Amino acid sequence: MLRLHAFPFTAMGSPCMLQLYAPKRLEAKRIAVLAMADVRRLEARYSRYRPDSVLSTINRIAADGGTITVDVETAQLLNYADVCHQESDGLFDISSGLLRQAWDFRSNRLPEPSRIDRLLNRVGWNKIDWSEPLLTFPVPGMELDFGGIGKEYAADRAAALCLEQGIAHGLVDLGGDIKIIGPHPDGSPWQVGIRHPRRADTIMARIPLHHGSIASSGDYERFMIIGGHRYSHLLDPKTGWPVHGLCAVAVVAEHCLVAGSACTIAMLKGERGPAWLEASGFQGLWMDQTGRMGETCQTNNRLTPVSKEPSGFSTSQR
Amino acid sequence: MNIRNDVWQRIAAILLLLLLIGGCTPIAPWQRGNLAKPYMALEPDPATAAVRRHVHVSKEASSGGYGSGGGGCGCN
Amino acid sequence: MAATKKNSCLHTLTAAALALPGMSPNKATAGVPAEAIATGFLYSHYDECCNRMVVDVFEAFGIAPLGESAELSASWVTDRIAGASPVLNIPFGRTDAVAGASGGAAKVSVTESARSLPLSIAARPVQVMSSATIRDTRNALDLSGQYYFDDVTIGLAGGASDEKDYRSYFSNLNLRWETDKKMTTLALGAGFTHDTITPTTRDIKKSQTAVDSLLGITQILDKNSLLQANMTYQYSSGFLSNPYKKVFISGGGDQQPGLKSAGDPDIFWENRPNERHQWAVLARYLRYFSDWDAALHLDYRFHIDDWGIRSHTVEMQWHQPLGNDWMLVPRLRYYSQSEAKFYSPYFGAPRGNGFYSSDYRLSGFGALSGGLTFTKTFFDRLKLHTGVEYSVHKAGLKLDGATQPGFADFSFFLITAGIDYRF
Repeated sequence: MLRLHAFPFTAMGSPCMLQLYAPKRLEAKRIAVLAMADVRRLEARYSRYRPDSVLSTINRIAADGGTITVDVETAQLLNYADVCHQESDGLFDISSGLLRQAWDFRSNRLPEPSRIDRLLNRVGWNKIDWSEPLLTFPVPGMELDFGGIGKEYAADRAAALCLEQGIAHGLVDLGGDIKIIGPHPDGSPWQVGIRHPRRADTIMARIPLHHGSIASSGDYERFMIIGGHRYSHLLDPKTGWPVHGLCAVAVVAEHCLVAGSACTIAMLKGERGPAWLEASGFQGLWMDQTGRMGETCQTNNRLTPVSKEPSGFSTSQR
Repeated sequence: MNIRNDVWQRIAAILLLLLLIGGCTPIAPWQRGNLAKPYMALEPDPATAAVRRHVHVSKEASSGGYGSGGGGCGCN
Repeated sequence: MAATKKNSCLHTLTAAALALPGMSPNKATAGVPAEAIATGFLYSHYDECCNRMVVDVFEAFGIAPLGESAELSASWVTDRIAGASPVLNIPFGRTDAVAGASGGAAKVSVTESARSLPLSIAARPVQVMSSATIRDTRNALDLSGQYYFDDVTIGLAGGASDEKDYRSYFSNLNLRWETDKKMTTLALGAGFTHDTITPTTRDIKKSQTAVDSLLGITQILDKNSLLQANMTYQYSSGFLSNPYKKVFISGGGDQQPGLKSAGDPDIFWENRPNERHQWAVLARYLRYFSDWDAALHLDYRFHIDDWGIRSHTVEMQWHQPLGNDWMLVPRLRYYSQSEAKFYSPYFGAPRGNGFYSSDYRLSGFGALSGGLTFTKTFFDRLKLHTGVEYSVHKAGLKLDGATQPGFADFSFFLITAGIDYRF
């Protein structure tokens, strides 16, 4: 008789939760501990805030403009980031984190354009020489950041680990990036809600998922509003300025890593995001600045948009 | 045992061919959808296949090829 | 442009993602135990033409996972056999010799194909059927277990079958090994069978033993097709004759060792060699057609043994989903075998090595059969299926032409109906 056991924890700066079906809590806990250990392992390796992490070691080399040989896991992550860079026409860029220095979302002040231009000189994946396993920074002062990849990769790994350990039903939720281990024991899907970008504690759509994963991204995570205009944390690596167009995107895919990257790329494409999702074969939905929701053809009416009395917004399906 | 040489050559040729095929390009896991369909299994309906095989073995003089072992009957 | 880009970004990212370590659970895809308990029931009705044999088969089976890496399966079969079976062939001119045959009045049926070989009427072979109606029930129990390691699966099976005059025990061991990025699977198997025969009409008790082995390889060719090749070898020894079948040897006055009289001067119990080596090679090709969402199964099997029998089997099946969880499978099979070295419809003179059989199963003939099966699935759990197959065995259908007249030709219907349920 399978029962649901929940294990909340914090990792990668986000509230996380493992929901596992198992006959006994003790068995579920043993597996949850293994999965959480792997998530923390990845956090230790790729966190920007830990001086002893692999990422920090890379960034110290980058600061001086040197070369470093990376391990297999990091190499594969860099390969993946490279593929995302190509597929997004250069918008997905793991070296764009540096632009953060210009944008202080607590200051409520726009940055100096010259500051952004100076930073742009040290931003750009194509400025970096990546020939596995050697990573070379010809331009000193650059910085890499696995945000947008790390958490989603951790979710996929955690789910695979639970499956290997014998959990057949459950899900992994790392700060809203969800990877399903298996549907409920009776075969029914998990009902996943997608956060509404403008109304906290409300969902904008609900999607039933038997397997696979879902990731979402939006301009509501870190932003400031100046002069009635919203500036969010999603920065275009080519201009250094926040992108415009969509409030939120959610993508469903087999792997959380793919879903998360597709989300980020769609947001970075701004108004062209929906067309890009459609053409690239993804299942996803979005909400634009007018509050209108849409979904790709591939999503096939799986989503249930949740509409309430709007104030200034109209939510209607395409 | 009067098995002719050319028969053995034929058998050896078939097996060699199949071993050579072993150098196919691997296909990725997400491309295995079609191969995973139940009717793409080597034996989609084992119970009925077993009945048919039993009938064939009872009425013909050949057996084997499909699997190992299986037991007998006094089929007349 | 959009058409080529479509699906390529999703697949490109997925490919890159899968290259990362730990993204997919470490489980061999082909070797995964059943996820749930499944049971089924199958009824089959075998009906030969011309008032010959009728068999009703009832089978119940189940399979259950045992822990995470093992599964157990069991099946129970009950056969009810009724009818007549050919026992002897005699020349037409000698049918009177049968009247006094042991066992009471025998039925003589004259069956000839339209293209009989030119033989004098007196010399044409005529089948003599068994007297009275055979009635027998066979029960069999099979058990098997499989254990799944990462790339290797080991299976052990055994069973017993029991009927009035025949008892059989078997066991086998098999191993499957997935290699080469899960594109190739190697299979190895070995089996042992022991049968005890106590015919109802004779006072003898005999036994036979067989060992068999299998070597197989299954290779995925591309995302739509795969190929399997198996080679099997079987060695049988002991009493390999059919204890009910007789032979007519004209002028068989010289008693040869091993040849026992069956009552009448020219009629003896058949005598097959007490050893047999059989080889078979099977090639099986499966291909998926996306335009039809259907699969083609194409088999060719070549069989050869040291009794002089060579056979070819070609079978073709087309698995066609029809929508709404219906499935249609038409099939076609052609079989051709050459006659055993010691076979003859009847014997005009004694043979040197003392081996004789007139069993129609060892004769040269061809068989053509066609069938159709329908399946309907409900809620992905319950499957109902029914099928019919019609088969014709004719001397004239043999490859390279008939080696005897069509007196032993027959045909049969096989009807099946079953239920499968997965919990």
